[in-house]
This record gives sequence, structure tokens and C-alpha cells, in this order.
Amino acid sequence: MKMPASLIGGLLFAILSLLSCRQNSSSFALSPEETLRLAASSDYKVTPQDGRKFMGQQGYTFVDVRPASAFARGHLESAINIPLQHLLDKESRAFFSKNPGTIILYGKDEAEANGPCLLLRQIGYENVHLLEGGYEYQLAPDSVQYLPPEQPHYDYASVMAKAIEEDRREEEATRPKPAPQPVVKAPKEIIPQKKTKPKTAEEEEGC
Amino acid sequence: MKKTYGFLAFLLLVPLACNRPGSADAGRATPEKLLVDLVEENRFLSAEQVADRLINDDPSLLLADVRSHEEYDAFTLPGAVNIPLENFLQEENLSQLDCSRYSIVFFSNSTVKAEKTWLIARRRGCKDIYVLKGGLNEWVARIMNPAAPPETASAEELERFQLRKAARKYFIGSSKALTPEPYVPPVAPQPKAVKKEVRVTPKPKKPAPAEEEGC
Repeated sequence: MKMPASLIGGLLFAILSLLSCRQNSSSFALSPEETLRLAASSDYKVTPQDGRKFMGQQGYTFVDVRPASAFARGHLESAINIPLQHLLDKESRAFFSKNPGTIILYGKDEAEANGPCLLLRQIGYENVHLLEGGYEYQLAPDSVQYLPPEQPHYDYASVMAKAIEEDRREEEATRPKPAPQPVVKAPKEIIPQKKTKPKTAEEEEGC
Repeated sequence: MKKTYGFLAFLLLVPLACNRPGSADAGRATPEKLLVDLVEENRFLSAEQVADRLINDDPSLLLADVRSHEEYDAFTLPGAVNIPLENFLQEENLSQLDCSRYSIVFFSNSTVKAEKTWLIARRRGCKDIYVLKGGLNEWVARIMNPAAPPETASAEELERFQLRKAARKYFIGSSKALTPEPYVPPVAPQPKAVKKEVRVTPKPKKPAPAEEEGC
């Protein structure tokens, strides 16, 4: 009779500790490799158009991660507010794990909710998605086209080339002052090109 | 009897096995720590802060461009290495991005892609890692095309504008040094690239080997 009692006790202990282990969940469900694969994909994202479509539909819950003050000023239809710092509170965790539908996270822009969304995904809440474009884009009129955040706003190489050209012109404008002859300008353009060649030659000879 | 004791011992091991990942990964990030990082925003460095560290030739600074090879080849920041996000966890890239030796600043066109890399580096236990806030888009807007402050600007704003202008001059100078241009004070930027053991675009490398061969 003694043995079964201790056995039952042991089993209970094991089950309870396993349960508490799951609840405390200060660990990740996704490995860094799995997280990278997810982060590099668009599997966890919802396009702004789909977001608009899902709004108010059953089975979709929008979660606003902005501060309560920003939420009070305005938010998406039927959204609930979980400010970022409360994302992993007990109630929030319960909400994420018990929600059978799709949860769509959004912030001011895409960048604000991207980290939080990937954090929840890493913990194992697979029903959490990210709203592309964030709140800002949902406010924009339909005519405004959605631009992914990583879209370059400039042609960097030509911005740089332009800046170099501007700088050279500025230098040229300041230089002739001590040397008043405008004739100097023409040879100046040629001299530099020559300069570089002799320089390397000099260096080679020098050594 | 022995069997039941063995079973009991096994039961006792169950909670231990459950606790193990937590204690073994004490140095690594937990979801709670990661959330604190996300809330505090200490990971962000402004374009000015990064420019300042570059100009002052901070030897611990390592810039990591997480965009594609094509984008990197077209334009990148001086001395930056190219580790596209998708390849971040490849062995050779991890050894190059040694966060115990360098203070690493990830950047992309905007904040999002760089922050993804930051998040994964954080998962791997890296601490001294940052994200260029706003990415190259902000960089160009603030450093390369700085808008002149209004006449009513505060002294602080004026100072920031001066810093931006100085940074612009510096970056024009350093990229000039990479092209066969008459302007020849490349002494400062070039050795910096070597010091950091940084893979630079083929352009800057050309002048260096020429000098070495000569000697």
C-alpha cells in the first residue's frame, strides 16, 4: 500500500512541475535558426489590404502595442490595447495562448510592432501576425500606395556622387581666389588625372 | 522494489530536465529580457551617433550592412562588412561578426531588417550590438542632405547641424579617397579600413596592395 501512494505522489509532483515549467515559459519555442527563417520570410505578416479586409471580421483580433495615450487618441476598429511593456504580462500571455483566431499586431509603423511580433512568435504564439505599414498606413487615404519600409528612398550611389561633385565645385570656387587667373581652371581638371598616375609610379620607385 | 525506486528517481529528474534550459542559458536572452530591450530602445543609434564614432575612428566599431550583395556593391557606409540577413547564422559570418570583440552596428535601408538581425544576435547572447535608427534612408536625409536649421533654431540645433555638415564633409572625403580623384589626403580613412579587418569593396583595396608591393 505504501508504494502506490508514493508513486502517485511522485507522479503528481512530476506533472505539477512540468505544468509550472510550461507556465513560467522563460524560454523560446523557436531556435535562432528558425527565428531567422521566419524573420526573413513574410509568413508572419498581413498586408495592409488584408488588414483592412479582416477588420471587424470574426476570428481576427487587432492588438495595438502603442502606449495607452496614443491608443486613446485613436486606434483601429475593435482593436484592443496591450502597450509594449505589458506584452508578456500574465493576462497578455493568457490572451495570446487562449485566442483561437488570428491575432494581428500593429504599432505606429511597421518597425514598432515587428520586434514584438517576432518576440511572441519565438515564444511559440503562432497565431500572432504583423500588420504591414502599421497604424499610419491604415490612416492614409486609399490613393497612397504602400511602400515597404526597406524600400530605399534615394539612389544612394548617385546622392553620394552628387555630393562629391558639389563639394568639388565648392572647392574650385574657393580656390581661384588666391590665384586669380581663370585659365587655371582648365588645366586643373587635367592635372589631377595625371597626378594620380605619377603618384603610384613614385611610390613604386621609392621603394 | 528496485524498479519502483528507479522510477521515482526518474520522476525526480523530470523537473530538473525542465529547469535545465533556463539555468544553462543564464547569459542568453530570455523573452522577458528581450522585451525589456525592445521597450528601452537602447539598441538604436542615430545617424549622428554612428557618424561620430566613424569620424573618431572608434577601433571597436564594426558596421554590418545586412542588405543584399547587390545593394552593398552599389553603396554602403565606409568600412562596412556585408552580411545579408539570410546568411547571418552561417559559420563564417558569425566568426566575422564577433560581438565579444566588436561593438556591432547593424544597418539596412530602414530600421526593420537591421533590427531583425539584432534580435537574432541578441538571442545568441550578444550584448554590445546596435541598430542604425532609420537606416540609410535617415542617414542620407540627415547627413548627406542636412536641411539648414531655421533662423529661430536653438544653439543645440545649430550645433547638431554643424556636426552633420562636418560628417558630410568627412564622408565625401572618404568616398573620394576610394575613387581616382585629385583629392589625396586618404591617410586617415584607408588604414582605418585595414585596422578593423573589414572587407571593403574592391575599390579601396587597390591602392593598399600597390603600396605594399612597392615595399
